[in-house]
Amino acid sequence: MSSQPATARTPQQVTELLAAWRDGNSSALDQLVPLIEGELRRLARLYLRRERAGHVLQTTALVNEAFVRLLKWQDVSWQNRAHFIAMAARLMRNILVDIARRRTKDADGHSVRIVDIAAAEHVVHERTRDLLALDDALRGLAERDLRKAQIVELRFFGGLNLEEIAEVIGVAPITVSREWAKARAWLHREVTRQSPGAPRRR
Amino acid sequence: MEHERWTLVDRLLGAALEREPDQRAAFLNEACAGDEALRHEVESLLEHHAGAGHFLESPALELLNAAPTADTGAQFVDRQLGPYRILSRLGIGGMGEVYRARDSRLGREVAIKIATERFSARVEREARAVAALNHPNICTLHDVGPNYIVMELVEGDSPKGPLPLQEALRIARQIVQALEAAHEKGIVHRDLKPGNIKIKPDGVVKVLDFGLAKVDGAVATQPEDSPRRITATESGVILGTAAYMSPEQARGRPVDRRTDIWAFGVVLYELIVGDRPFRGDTVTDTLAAVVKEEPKWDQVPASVRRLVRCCLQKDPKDRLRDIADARLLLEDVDTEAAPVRRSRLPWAVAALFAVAMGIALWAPWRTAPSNPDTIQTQVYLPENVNAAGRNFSLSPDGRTLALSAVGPDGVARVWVRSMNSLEVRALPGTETTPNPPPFFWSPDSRFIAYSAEGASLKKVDLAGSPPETLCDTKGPNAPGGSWNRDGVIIFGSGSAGLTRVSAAGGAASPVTALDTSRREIRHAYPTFLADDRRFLYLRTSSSPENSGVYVGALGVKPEDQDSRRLVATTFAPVYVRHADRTGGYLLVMRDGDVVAYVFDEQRTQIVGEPVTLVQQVGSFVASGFFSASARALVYRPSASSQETRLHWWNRKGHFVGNPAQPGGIRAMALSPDGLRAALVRQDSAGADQNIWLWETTRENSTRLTFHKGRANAPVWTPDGRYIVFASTREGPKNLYRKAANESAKEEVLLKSDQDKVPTSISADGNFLLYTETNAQSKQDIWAMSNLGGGGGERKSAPFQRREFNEGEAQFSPESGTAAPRLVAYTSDETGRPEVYVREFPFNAESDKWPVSKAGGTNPRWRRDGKELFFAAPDGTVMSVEVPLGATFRAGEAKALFRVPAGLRSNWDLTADGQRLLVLVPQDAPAPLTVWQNWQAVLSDRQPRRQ
Repeated sequence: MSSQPATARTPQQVTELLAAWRDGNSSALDQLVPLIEGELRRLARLYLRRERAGHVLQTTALVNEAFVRLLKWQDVSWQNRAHFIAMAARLMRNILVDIARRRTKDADGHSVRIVDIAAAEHVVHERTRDLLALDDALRGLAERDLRKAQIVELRFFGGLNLEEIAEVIGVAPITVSREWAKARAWLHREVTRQSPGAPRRR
Repeated sequence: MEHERWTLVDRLLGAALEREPDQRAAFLNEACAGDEALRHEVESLLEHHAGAGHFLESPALELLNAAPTADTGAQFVDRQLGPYRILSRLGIGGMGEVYRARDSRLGREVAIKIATERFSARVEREARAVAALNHPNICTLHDVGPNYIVMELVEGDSPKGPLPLQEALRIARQIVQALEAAHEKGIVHRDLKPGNIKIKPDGVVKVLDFGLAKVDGAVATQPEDSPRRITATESGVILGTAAYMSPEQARGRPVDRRTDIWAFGVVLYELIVGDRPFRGDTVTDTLAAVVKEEPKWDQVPASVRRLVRCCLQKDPKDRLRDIADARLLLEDVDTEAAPVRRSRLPWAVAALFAVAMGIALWAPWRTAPSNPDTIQTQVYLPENVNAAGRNFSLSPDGRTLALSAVGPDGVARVWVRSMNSLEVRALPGTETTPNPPPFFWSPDSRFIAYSAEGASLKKVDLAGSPPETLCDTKGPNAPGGSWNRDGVIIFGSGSAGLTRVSAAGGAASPVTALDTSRREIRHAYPTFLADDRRFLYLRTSSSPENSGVYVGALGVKPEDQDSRRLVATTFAPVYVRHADRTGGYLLVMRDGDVVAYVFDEQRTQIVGEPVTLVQQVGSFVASGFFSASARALVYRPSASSQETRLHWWNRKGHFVGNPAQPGGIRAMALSPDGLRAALVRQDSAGADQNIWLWETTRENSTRLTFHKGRANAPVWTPDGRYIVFASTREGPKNLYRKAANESAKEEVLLKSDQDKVPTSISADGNFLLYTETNAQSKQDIWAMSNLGGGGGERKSAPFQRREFNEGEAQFSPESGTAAPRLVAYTSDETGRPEVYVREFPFNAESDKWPVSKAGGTNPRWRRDGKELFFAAPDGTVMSVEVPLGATFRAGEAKALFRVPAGLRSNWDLTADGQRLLVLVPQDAPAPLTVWQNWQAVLSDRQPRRQ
């Protein structure tokens, strides 16, 4: 099942799986996740490459595109969309952390030498490392406070804004905003503690 | 237990954050009740809350995006590419990846650069030209494929300063030889930087990547016209590259070999000094430094300073013209011990050096923004893209500007410019109406909706899919629209109410209806509120009291929409929501300024008074030249801040020179001796104007006045000692006088509630003529006596005060005691402005002599009073002979010549009447100004939550 390319699925089938999952059929999720992840991974790579050709990128755009490809928007109730987005944010996190991990390995192993010795690129590499540190810290946060971790996941990995997050997790935007502020302070402390001076003000 | 502790910390942190920072300590004191560990924990989080900066603010994907994409790499390793076997990856460069490969035919190792896209015809052509070059200092190109280049494998490192002078010069000489060989074949490098220079173990220098810099391919143009394009994700790379870009590259202007000369200067500086001459933390800052900053010359040893300086002239015209000249200069330098030889340079180089010594005092980029938390930058478009007088709109995420522009083919299309890069491109197939209203964006910033040719509304995907028609519009243009998150588009009309259509296209239906009892003409420029149901929009009515911003809602019958006016205006409102959905800022044009109202969405009302955000923003018809997202405000300063140049013309109509001059000139008056001029110059923000003194042959000017507001209309006293001018520094335009040296004090001549503009001072220095604007009698001419102040109190009396516009009064320079003084002036009493002459002081008995017959403005006397010049309506300079005599007699007006750009008020004559100094607006439109974080200036005015 999971080896089948995502595009071979019709939107109706995906929508049905999503609905079945929502109705409590957990095996539906097993079928759904690889589909969505495959599609997101493909899109993420495509975007990361295409971005170099001058296209503007947005995480939400990417998630939307995955969604549009896999589902028919108008057929899906909002609850289903919210679940999809939450799941997509989780998947995006996995995908992006994987990419960051591989990049860092490449850079550490000196298998890649950057031709252009612009100082800025070192910063970028450090940022990539930051992403990994953040992923760790976020796991720590989830153990203590699941909602905060979810908000960060939706915002930072899913690219959602506060209003969208409020809708996805079903609380008032002001609550999201407060929780976000507190989560950010906590994560900032964790990440700074792990690698002194690592997070950049950028 | 741990969970309880966490909840407690969380609650206290939340409560502390709700309080003002200065009250938090007291709060924690009480709340923690002696639990020091608890208090410490909360305080540490508060500290991190304050110090987190932009932590986590950009999504993770974008963060990765900015990094080089190592993960896509190595995909070619072990593959065969024609006769080449890819062995390993060497690295990643701006245009693609570089691999080490083996040429199986010749048994040698080569480097292969594989680009992510197919080469454009131009790159391929240039690469073939480079392949034909054979020079020891140029990396040889062996082969060119559709998206790959096979080249000599150069082992070695890029040079890194600071190097000993001799070593730096040794490298520089070889770079120069490489450039010289390429330039001779017409090949420009365009991207010279240390990263493209390698020093082989044997010491030979190789210059790589000639002519391979990415060039904008959106519209096919002449190779020389193509500005360099840099994509957003190369930002790491561009930071490196931007520092080597020439000012013309930074501005997206055409480049030629002089761009390489600039880059050579930057490289040489860096090799010697060890630091780049132009630095910035961001690409924008770096480019700003390139355009305006001067390098630290004192860091450069005196022996090479001249060479570096000749390379680093901002204006390519002032730069070394030929890299061969650099070679000559280098040879001169290379004699540290020996006495300095006489220069073998052409005289032109020596002259350049003289020019280089002048350092511009005026740096518009450097002017500090009024609020330290906000940043203003400028956006330049390539010269062959004309967006003058056209609309633009910023995407909701603030990343992309969609603008209406006409490309080299003369067709108006939708263009987009990424705010993070210099890239600008036309979206294919998006032919718009000739002058479309502002485009509008989908909420996810992916689509742009626009008024297309043939009276339809279309949408186009930023990614480049072909445009799709949404529906027909009633007129050719749909003035304004909004697209909500439920996929509903509403758009305006030139002659009806608002219409809605699905973002997927289909049938359109009315949302609002004109109320004819209120004499409404149209409904336009809607913007959805946060609930995606209600919207703000403009109703235009022939009764001014009904024109303004209203709120409407989907699902309400068109004729039942709320008819309560929120704000009176006839301009398009722009609405920017707050993140918390409770309200936002309603921006409208008022008297040429952009003002912001705080709007409470929940109570559907305006809160408090508006605040002026930007002064002097251009506008036309109903939409202002500004656009805003939550983060950025983009505006085009009004036409008055267009770039201008002073040109000399002789009276035969020959252009006789373009004197070295500063920028930002808005008006000018020549001194009586013609050696100096008083300039009115605008600061970069376009807000303030001050008077500067300029010697008519210098690039420098010295600032004379230092005030807020707009100074204007300088008039010299005939002895050249004082300048009288108007300034808005205290509200209305008042009159001031200052001695023509900076240290002198200013003197208020006249303060009143009316605007006043000085125009002329009598030859004896006693009388000042000025134009006063008055609600009843429009513009009138007044005369102030005792200007010098020596003979008692200054008094003003009207000279021409009728119900017409009278102004531009000029004293005849002839101050003979017997003959009455004459004044030439303009009046529109016949229905159009004509030039007249009459006696001064006003004498009801004396005649008024018409001078122009077919319209005339801006009279100017020759210094001997025997000739009077004026401007005809079409900008022709006219001349009238004035024979001396008891009474005024004017000859026939003769046309002298026509200044192409037209003559308005900005010209002056030399004393002999032989030469005219004309202020000519430049063709380039005023650059757009981007104001990041504009909401910071309104931070104390956010609507309060209850």
